[in-house]
Amino acid sequence: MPSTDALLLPGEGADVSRRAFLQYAGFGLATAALTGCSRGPVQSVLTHTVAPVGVVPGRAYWIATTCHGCPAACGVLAKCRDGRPVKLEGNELHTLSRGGLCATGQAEILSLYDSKRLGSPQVEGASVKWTESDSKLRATLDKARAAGNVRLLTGTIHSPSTRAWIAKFGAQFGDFKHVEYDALSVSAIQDAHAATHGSRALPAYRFSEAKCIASFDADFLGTWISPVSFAADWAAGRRPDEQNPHMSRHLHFEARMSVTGSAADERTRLAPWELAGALSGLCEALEHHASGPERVSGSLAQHRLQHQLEVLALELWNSRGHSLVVSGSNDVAVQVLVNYANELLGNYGTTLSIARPSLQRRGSDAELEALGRELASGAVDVLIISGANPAYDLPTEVASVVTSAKTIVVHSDGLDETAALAQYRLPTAHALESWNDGEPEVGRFSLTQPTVPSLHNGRTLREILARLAGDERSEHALLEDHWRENVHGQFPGGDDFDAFFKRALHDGYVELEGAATEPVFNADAVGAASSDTPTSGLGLVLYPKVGMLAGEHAHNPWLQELPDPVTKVTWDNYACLSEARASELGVKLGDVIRITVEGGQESLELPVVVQRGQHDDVVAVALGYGRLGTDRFAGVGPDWLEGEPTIRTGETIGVNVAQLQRFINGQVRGDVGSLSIEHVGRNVTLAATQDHHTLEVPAHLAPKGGEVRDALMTTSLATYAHDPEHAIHRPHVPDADLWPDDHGKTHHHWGMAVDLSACIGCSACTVGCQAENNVPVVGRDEVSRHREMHWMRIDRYLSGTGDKVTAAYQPMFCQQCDNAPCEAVCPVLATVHSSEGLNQQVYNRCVGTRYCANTCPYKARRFNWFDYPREDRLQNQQLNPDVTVRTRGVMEKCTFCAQRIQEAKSEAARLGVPMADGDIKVACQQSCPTQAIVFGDMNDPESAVSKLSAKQRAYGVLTELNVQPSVSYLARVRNVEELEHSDSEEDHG
Amino acid sequence: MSMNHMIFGVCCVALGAVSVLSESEFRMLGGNQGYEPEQPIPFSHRLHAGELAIDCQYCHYGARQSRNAGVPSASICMNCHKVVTSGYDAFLKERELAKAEGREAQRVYSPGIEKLLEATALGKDGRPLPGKQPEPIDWVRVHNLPDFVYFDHRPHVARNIACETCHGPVGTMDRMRQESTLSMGWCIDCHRTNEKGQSGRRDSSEGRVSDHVSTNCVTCHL
Repeated sequence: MPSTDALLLPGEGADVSRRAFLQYAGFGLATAALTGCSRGPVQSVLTHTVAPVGVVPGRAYWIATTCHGCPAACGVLAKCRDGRPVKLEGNELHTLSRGGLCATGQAEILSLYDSKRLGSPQVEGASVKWTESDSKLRATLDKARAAGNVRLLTGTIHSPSTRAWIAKFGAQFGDFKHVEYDALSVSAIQDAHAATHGSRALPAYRFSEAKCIASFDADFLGTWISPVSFAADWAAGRRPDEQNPHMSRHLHFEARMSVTGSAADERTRLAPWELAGALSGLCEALEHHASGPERVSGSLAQHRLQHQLEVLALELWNSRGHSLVVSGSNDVAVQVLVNYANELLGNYGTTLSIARPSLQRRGSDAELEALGRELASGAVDVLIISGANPAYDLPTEVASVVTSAKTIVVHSDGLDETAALAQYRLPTAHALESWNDGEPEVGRFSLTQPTVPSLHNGRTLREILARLAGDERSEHALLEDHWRENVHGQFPGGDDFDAFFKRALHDGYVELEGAATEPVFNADAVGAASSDTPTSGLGLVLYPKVGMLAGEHAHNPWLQELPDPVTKVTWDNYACLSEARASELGVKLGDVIRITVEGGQESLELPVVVQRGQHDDVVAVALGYGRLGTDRFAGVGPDWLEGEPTIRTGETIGVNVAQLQRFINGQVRGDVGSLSIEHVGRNVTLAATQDHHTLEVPAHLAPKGGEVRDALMTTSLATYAHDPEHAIHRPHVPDADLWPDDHGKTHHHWGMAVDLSACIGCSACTVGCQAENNVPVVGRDEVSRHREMHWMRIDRYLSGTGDKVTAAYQPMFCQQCDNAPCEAVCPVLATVHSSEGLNQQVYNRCVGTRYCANTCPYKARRFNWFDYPREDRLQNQQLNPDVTVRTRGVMEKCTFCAQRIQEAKSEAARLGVPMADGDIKVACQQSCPTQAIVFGDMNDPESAVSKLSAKQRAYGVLTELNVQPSVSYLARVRNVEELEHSDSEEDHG
Repeated sequence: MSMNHMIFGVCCVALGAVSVLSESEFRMLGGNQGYEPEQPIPFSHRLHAGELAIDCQYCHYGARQSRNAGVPSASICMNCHKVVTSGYDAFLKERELAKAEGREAQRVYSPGIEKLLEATALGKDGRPLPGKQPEPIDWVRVHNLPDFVYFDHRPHVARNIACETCHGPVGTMDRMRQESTLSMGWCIDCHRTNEKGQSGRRDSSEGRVSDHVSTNCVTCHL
């Protein structure tokens, strides 16, 4: 009898052919199936006992509500399935946000399902029931009422009903004060209007009305006040086409490279301490044009930017009444000059208004500083803190004295830095599980309604105050009664209350119509301003990132893993240095430097990111990092032999720099002080996606002479006006085709058009895509191994050096090629073409050869190297039930939200109507504040996508490969006479 | 067939059997055909859908509005079973017994209906029982597709495809059974047959308004 080896090794004795082997194996399998055939797993179907009206299992329904990711209060629709929200989308009816939703707004859904939120009130560290904490807190407050004082410290509260309850609550105390502050303060703008217009107010800005915009360090497209509505307004004026080659002009002055700066037509580097001088110069130049009294004089003639400021003044003057000057500075003197400039230009009433001001930021730094002094003196008996984290995000003057209050009550969603110090910890109800209202602008009211029963037993501030007052009405009743008594009356002559409230709930908001009169400008407040240059020649800039803002979103893994639009770094903050400064110091990406603020005790160690376009004399560091509890991400990402944890237990993601802020003239400033930096000789790996998935041919592989790949094309408005095709290099496309021409897309042909003029790189689409398509978070280590899973990335292109750096962004995702290279190489037909032009990815067929990812010229495919942890069962509630959760060893990529296409088809079939253009909005398109992305049927000549793709500035990326992408990009148009650089100089890095 | 071949074959069979048996998650395509699990309440489709000819979508109302046809909530059962509490035979028997015993006929409750009342926490007078919470009925799912398949009832119902086409002669089944294989080949067969002659786009002019029957992967695999 032959040995077993011989049996298994055919050819030696046992001549079992391959064919025979397969026959036997197949037979064996079939027999096994007969003997051991098993049923599928037994599944329970737990039905409702009483079916709720209007809710059909498996059918999505939408609830209009308001985003509470920041005080901008954008309108959102929560998509709910089977009693829980699974996705947030912008509410197109909302007149401020108009259907857009930023990255943080998109990520709010994940915060709802955060299993580490506080689950019950805590008194002195012990968990208690609300009734117990209520009675104890009532006793504490009774003591303060008899002899003592109460201070309430909150973030901006624009909810009218909550403000009414605060007023009612405060009235019972002899000594009560409510202080509001914003971690990203715009207090100086309000104080400047108090000086120039007699009313402390934040203007409502209307960028859509502005033909010329001058921004002095205001990142209004990224993080400043209300970026979604500003971006929508800004983009409305910047859609040139062949027939109408006009667009607004946007000039930007800033120290670091911001999202807004990259989108500007012209960008000039200006250090924070130069803002006062530059605005004085601008006002002086505007005074010349206005030929009025000279209130600001003498600074323009010697200014380093004299010529630029004069040109700017002329451009603004030519668009007077339709221009806008804004500044992100928190210096009142600077903001007074901004007001003066807008007044000289006659912009009040058109491009900005304080007749109906914005209430999106109401914080007063002066009151905050006063509270700090009061706290330091030990005079505060009860300090109630709600929706704010002063121990983390304020300058040391206030952060360190919070504990001086005798009793601290903190109302927050988790055990944050401030809650850790408190005697009373009261859990907050998430916006998606509570009733609330808002008034982001005077006369615009929005409503927030619960989408899910309370998951963590939290309460809103209004409910807490009502219960303390012994009012046991439900949350809904509290809100409805407030609206009946206070809001409905402001809308006279309309519906009765029930109809009015119902309509407001359905639409998500109501607003007053008609104009209001602007207050009169008081020119006496105006005077030239100046500020000190740092003695060391190096200053600090603290800035918020689009995902992290001031740190309130630091516990959201989507936002931690979202690459910063400009630096492309994830999971960290870092010190940005200009190229010149970095080379002078001899540091490169990831080298750790020590930053010491003059006069400060502490120094910080941060890794370096070299950022082109940054001012040479500043170090820019992002706020919002170093949050307590970010070690929760220790378990993010796969656990394998070589894997490094995203963070070690007890450590924090990044470093907190908020303590470097200071109070200057009553305002919190992050841009003061003189710095010294030194190289500490260490290097850390930053998880930067900047050089991942590059479209460029590596130098050693490029054909002789180099291959120019114009992935991103830019043109100037002047050139575009006389030759719309000038910037478009249409490469020769070979006519050869592997495929027989028998796959006509006779029904639909899905396609997309992306307007690069409108894309600002804000990354809302990336997070929107992640939420819609169950894209996993992989952790810092995996990102640094080029294994991030985002289906949609924003490619950043920089050109020029020094003062002449321009940036552009290009959303990149699967281009659904008609001649898809990936399809030809898949050995198991896991990626095949649909009859509607989609490049389908069939997860259950994929065996993970990764040939497709290698061959994809756009590098749009992502591979599941692991089963990424999905152990948090609460967090899993967010998963889109219409999309497969992929397992290890499977390739995945953008499918143009095939589930949304199918949903629209099924609905059309159900209703018996044909599908119309616009029925399908893919996730990235839905989220885009500037509507840069348009999806539709290219077989329909009347569809929006067909019309855009037919524009003369439309082009496809890498069409020379004859892959025939289904995505058209519209070349970026900058409103300049001539581009400083040829397009070929633009690079990915 | 040589000895070597025989031994090799037997080994393969044994190896196959062992590997399959040890890997309990392995299933053959269509392996759930004929699946007929016992349910917590012996609900009879033969009686309701067959004999009484109640429209399928009276209970499975999700089928025309949603992906899922849905298992009806107990409140839907109670629409009728507030009044109908037993089979007709039991009702007649009680009436005769009552006549014979010279008393008024009592309402008769079948064991299934009693479970239904228990689930809805209702007393025999139809009022909520104090101190009891409704408990969902733990039905056993019969038609179950793999997690990577997204079947949608809507377009099928909209095209007036009879439920029996996929679910078999439900009106004859006392206990619900999976009649079809529900395998991909079985789905595709039907889609292929109906795909023909339906090309061309935006067919409202031809009076056909729904989208075409597709054999594209993303029709079901999302």
